[in-house]
Amino acid sequence: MASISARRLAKELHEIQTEGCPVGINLLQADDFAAWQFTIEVMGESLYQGEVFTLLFRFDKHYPISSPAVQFVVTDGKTSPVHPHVYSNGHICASILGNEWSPVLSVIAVCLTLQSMLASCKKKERPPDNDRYVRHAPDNPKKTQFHYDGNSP
Amino acid sequence: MQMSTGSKKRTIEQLAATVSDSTDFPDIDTAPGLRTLDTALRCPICCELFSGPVTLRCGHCFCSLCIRGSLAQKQECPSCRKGEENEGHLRVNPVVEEAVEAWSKARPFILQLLHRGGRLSGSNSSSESGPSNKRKRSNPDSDSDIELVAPPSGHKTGIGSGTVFSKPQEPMLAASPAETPCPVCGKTVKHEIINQHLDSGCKTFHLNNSKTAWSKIMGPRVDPGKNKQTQAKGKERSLSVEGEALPKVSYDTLKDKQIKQLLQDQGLATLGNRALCIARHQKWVMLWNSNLDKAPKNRKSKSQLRSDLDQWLQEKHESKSKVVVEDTFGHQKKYESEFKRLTEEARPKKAVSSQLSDSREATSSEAKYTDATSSTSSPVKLLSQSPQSPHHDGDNNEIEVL
Repeated sequence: MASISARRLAKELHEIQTEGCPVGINLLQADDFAAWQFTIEVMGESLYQGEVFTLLFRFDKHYPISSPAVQFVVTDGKTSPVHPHVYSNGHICASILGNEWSPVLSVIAVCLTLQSMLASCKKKERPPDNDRYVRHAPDNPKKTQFHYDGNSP
Repeated sequence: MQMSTGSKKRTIEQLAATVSDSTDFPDIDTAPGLRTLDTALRCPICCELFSGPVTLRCGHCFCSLCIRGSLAQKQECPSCRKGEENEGHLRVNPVVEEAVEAWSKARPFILQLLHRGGRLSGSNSSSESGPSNKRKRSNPDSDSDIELVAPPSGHKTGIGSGTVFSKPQEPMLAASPAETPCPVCGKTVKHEIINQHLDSGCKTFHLNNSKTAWSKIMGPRVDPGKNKQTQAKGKERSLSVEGEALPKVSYDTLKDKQIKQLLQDQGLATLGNRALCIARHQKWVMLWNSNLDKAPKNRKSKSQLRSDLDQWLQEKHESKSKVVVEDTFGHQKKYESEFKRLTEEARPKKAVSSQLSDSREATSSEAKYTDATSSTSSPVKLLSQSPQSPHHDGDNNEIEVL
């Protein structure tokens, strides 16, 4: 009997495999129950046309009670989108990944939220405190306590 | 390393292939309602069929154990985020539990029917998915028409008018013809004395009558159930059935000894440090109380609950120790310079600790993270006293570090 988190992730993976991902999102790698990778691109007209980003999900054993750690991959020549809520090290300041996480959300739901976050971006810029944050940022974005200022999509 | 990732991959694929979920059923165009029905009977947290379903005040339904775990983190409904919910607001939902029980039996049957139908039409070319799917569905449908719909229709014509076929059943179930429910008090009274009963203001019952009436109402429900449980499962079973919900404990006010006493009262192990004892007792209360939210016949015995607890503790231990074994030295070496930098950075900040900045937070929390992955690496040992909760407790830790 596998743990709850493993079973839940297995169900999500099964659904992804049978139903496919939403448009613009593709499963890149899901070899275990610890880390999955997706590619994400914004469809239609947006500031990020033609750009493909890679998302990294990391799960702990409390998933889905605790949120996954989600960030953009910035190694191997991959970059994070230039966005007021995305730091150049790939960390994302989004409330649903922190205190607004709910266990009814899923990996795909997070992907869709981030996709729409990018799609609704008005101006390509880094967060104002990007340099300071990136210099000291922890490896795991979940260890950062972001202040959500409410203007995120 | 490669081997292990390979085997991991195999297990994840195996599990993904074996777990049951709504996508076992064909999509909405092929089999309307089936997938939605399956989803509706699943807990949105664990995605399994409800086990001990409970509803919150907003009406959303979850497995008792899942929502208790979620409420321990955040006191709101996970679905609609309505706040100020706590375990006291949970109400058992026996109707959903019954529906789930029926569905878990019907599910394999329906899947089998769909499968059989699929195989009959499956010999056609796969490119013709539309029509073949239609046939896939129509076959089991016609089967089920005969098997499932026929009995009630026979019933209908047999009994009479037919438009409402629950009505003719009612008098048969409710009382024998010699008894009628009193129109005033609703109790079952023997037909001959109904007038006497009404005249007395619903006070008189024939002694014998009232007894039989009560045994008619209460008897068949209580007795066989009790007998079955005590006979089939023995003491343990009846213990768990009759148990009462355990109250929540504010562990902070208790001494180690008292916490161990709590564990002893429940017949649990008292090994380990305070944190482990608390975790064990907390989880036990959760398991125990959620078990009581199930219908008596679906409840687990105390020993089953105990093994659930053991499994949970083992998983907890495993996931911790695994990382430690893999990481300790490599990790320490890899991040040696970073550790040094961090400790250096942390020191002078003592003076300006009032300064609120992201960077400070990040520094301490990174140290915490590395600690979580390798508890033996010395630079961050300072932090290891903090309870390992992944949620934003960065502030508390900062105080400890600085």
